[in-house]
Amino acid sequence: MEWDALTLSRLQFAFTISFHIIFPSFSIGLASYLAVLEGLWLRSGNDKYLRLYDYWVKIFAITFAMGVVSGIVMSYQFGTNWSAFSQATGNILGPLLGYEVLTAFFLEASFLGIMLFGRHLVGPGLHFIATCIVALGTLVSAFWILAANSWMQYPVGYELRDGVFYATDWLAIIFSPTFPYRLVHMVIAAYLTTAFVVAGVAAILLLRRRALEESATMLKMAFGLIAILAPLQLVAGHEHGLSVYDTQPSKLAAMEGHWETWEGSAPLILFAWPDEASETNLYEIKIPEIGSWIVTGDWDGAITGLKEFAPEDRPNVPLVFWSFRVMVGIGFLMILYGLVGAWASWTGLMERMRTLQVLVVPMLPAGFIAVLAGWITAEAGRQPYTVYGLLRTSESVSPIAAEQVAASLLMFVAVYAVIFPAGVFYMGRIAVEGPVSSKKPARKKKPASRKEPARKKAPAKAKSRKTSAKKRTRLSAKLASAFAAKQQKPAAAKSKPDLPVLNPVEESPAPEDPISAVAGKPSSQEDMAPEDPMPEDPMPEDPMSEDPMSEDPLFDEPMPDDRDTGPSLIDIAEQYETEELPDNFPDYKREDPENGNS
Amino acid sequence: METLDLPVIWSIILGIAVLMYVVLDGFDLGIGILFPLARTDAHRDIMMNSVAPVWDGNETWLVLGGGGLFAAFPMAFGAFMPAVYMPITLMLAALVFRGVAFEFRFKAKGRGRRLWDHTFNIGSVVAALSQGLVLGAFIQGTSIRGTAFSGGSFDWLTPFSIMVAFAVLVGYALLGATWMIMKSDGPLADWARRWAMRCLPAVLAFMAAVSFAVLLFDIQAGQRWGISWPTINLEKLLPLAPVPFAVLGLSLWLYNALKTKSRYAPFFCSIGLFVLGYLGLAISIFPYVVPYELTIWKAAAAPNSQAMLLIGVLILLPLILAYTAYVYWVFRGKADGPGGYGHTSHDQSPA
Ligand code: HDD
Ligand code: HEM
Ligand code: HEM
Repeated sequence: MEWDALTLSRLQFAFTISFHIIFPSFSIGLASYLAVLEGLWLRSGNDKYLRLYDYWVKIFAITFAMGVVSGIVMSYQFGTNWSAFSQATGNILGPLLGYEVLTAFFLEASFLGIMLFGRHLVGPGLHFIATCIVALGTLVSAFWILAANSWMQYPVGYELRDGVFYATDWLAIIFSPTFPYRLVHMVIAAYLTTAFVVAGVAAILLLRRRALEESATMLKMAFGLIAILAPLQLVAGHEHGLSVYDTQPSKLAAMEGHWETWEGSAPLILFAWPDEASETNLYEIKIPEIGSWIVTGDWDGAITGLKEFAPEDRPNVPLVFWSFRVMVGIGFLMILYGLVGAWASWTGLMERMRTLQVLVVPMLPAGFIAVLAGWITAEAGRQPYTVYGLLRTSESVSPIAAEQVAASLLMFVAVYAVIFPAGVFYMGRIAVEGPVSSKKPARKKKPASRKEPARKKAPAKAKSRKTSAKKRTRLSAKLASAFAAKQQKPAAAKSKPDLPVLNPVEESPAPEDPISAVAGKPSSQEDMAPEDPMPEDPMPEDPMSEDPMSEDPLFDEPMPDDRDTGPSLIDIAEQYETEELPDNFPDYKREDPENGNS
Repeated sequence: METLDLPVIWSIILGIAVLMYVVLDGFDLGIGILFPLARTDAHRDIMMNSVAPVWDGNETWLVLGGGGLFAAFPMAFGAFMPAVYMPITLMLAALVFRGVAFEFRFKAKGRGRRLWDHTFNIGSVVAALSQGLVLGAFIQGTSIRGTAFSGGSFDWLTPFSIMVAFAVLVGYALLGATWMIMKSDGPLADWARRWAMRCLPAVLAFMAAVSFAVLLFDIQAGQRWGISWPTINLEKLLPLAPVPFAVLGLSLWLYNALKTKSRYAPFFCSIGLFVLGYLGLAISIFPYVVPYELTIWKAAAAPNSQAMLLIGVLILLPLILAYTAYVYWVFRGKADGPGGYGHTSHDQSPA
């Protein structure tokens, strides 16, 4: 292999896209899961769903951010590394990617803010809509990018003049022959990936005897979905394979490992080592006769062998052959897990049998592996072309120096090598902590009210906020029972015991003009005397709390190196918000240790 | 579409997208640039929280800028991107770090949190500098043969582009500081005001220096203003003269707004400064998309491709602007009061 700009650019593209796809596969599925959870919560009023939502949304925030930043890397690489490709295909792929930005990325990115930070600002109904919009955005994004990719796999609706593609039929381009299969297959893949993560995490939580109620729900939901989707994925994948047969004979031959052409009754090669030098398969294990039927849908279907293609027109056969088998193998395993898992979790067996739980855990990353294997099949199988049969990869690369690409490749490897473990670590830590369980008294969470002291200067304004709060109350009328209890008791009284005693101001009930009290004092640390009493650990009863620095003043100047996740501001904020909670506001977030939950 | 000059329409749309990016991501990059200068960790929390809900949307304009260039002017995209290979790559890596720092910082404990503070800061600084390098390389021109880049790996690195890089850095810092004035009260706002006060002269100095350098290095952009050292063509210069004067006027206004502790005016004046600088640039460059080599007509995508996406833009861009405005409206108000936005369930792990 020559280490030229071409090879290095291919490596870099393969590396960065493989990194990128990990996150969409998870965030497409998770966004939909979150929408379902929030919908269930709004419908049923069962706080269990809200706890699950709050739990998974934290993980979603991380995976989404990593998806976004690695995606931006992708879109610029078309120009930096594949400029010849961009100039040739810009007329066609440019608008498709442009539509992706306009219809998907802006939706996702804008409403993500509301989804993560806006619960208390917009009310439950609008918040649910924001979640749905984000979920929709991820699907729309998949639609456009897969339309672009499918066109590269099997170009139609174009005219080629002087090496540049011109569009002649936009509908044909968007809905190219392989696109429907790819879209269905990919979306199911994302849902399966997510379902196995959810199931795996639930199993880990059960093994650690945490959040039992929520974990059981997660298992039921995940395996219910897997039981339906995994068999469907087999069907979708099979149909997808038929479309490859119709559109990309050289890829199909590599996937199936056929060197010779068969006019019918081809065998199905299960395992082998395709040897490119001798153009034969070593160590072949095959089932005779049935290959033609599986691959073409016809016992007499012909399969073109690899030898019909010049060696320089063939993809990397072992890579395509094996990645295809990895994917299909995982696919069958998923079907098995779906059937057994759904039965075991819906009968409650899974909750009791630790062996079953232990068996679920290793499947946690299965979806990611299958997705990567599937994409490697599709993309490496398309080689040596970027636009199948028409534009070679070697003609797509930018006229740049190899050293530059080597430097950037090393840089991306280094960058991703830092953020990937970090992301996995933070997600893992959140995951094993589990949702705030109904079984134990929880740390005070955000009160539900929207309180902006800055905007509450005028009493009149405060009034109007209250009315709108009332309106929102109606939205979640189903929760009436949950907060009826609260209405009888002033919120502040309940919350006091958990709250840090920080400043006398906080003891006074709902200041009319909190801004003067607050902005002037607790949030402006410079004014705070160093001997100010520091708040105690906000959740001393929490077994997970092991913060050795809980004795530290929160606001001292040089940051103590192991300061805990900003309880400082948040706690003060909580305290104030709690004080002035409009007493008729749906307090859907708060755990009530005394009354139990809902 | 026969009578429409699609490339001109597209250059305006792209111009708007890039300007939106520069202003919107400008202020949140600015927050990152000023991050280590903040007086306390609590201030840093507030600063971060004030942009956390919107940074992703802001950055999407960068994707629209790149994607729009790819779609509307593929020849320019393919010719220019390789020319700035390194600064673009550096920017992407910096944005990766910076973007994940938002999430990781909220989740990290102890030492880790410190680490992501630095990451956020360094990522923002490097992203701003590399954008400046790209801009500098853009203004000074690119070697092109046919429609392919034909220069060397380091063509983008010149004293001029380095100067532009620092200009962008202080410009973003000004935006960030004035954003913070709008979003906070008390000591934090005072602090932000002090930094805005420091950035303002630097921004003006850099604007002047960059304009002067354009003449000194005899960059073609200067000719548009009727200046080809040492000759000055007043006929060309005079109609454009209001631009620099507007810059001066706006700076005075900004200075005054900072003095009188006005809440909103500083931010919008800073945006105004950016818009004017941008306008000046547009005057210098138009109608090139890759300065002095490819005009917008030469680099344009096929008319049916430009029209295809234009339909989407005309329908969707107003919608995008509307819901972007809605999101900003939801998160209006100060970020530092208790109950100010930003502290959500997701930034406090239940542990
Ligand atoms: C099947 C799905 C899928 C595939 C094949 C790809 N992406 Fe992706 N991408 C998404 C699904 C997605 C998403 C679900 O929409 C993401 C992932 C997480 C996220 O935040 O949005 C995203 C984010 C994302 C972003 C950031 C969007 C933002 O700013 O919000 C960009 C620029 C790209 N992608 C670009 C690409 C490119 C150039 C790809 C191929 C070469 C690509 N993606 C493959
Ligand atoms: C998201 C999952 C994807 C994965 C995991 C993936 C993987 C890969 C891999 C491994 C290669 C290198 C093949 C080789 O060189 O042997 C490649 C090439 C390429 N892919 Fe994809 N791909 C994905 C999606 C896409 C999409 C959606 C597009 C375009 C819209 C795309 C465009 C390209 C291009 C232009 C190349 C050429 C560079 C090259 O051949 O190395 N890919 N991809
Ligand atoms: C169960 C049996 C399965 C079969 C028969 C199957 C079939 C296929 C085929 C034929 C392709 C190649 C398409 C191409 O080259 O363009 C493909 C691609 C792919 N597969 Fe599968 N698949 C199966 C299971 C799975 C599973 C379980 C996942 C993930 C959870 C998955 C994810 C993917 C992905 C992401 C691609 C690349 C994108 C695409 O081309 O659609 N597949 N699959």
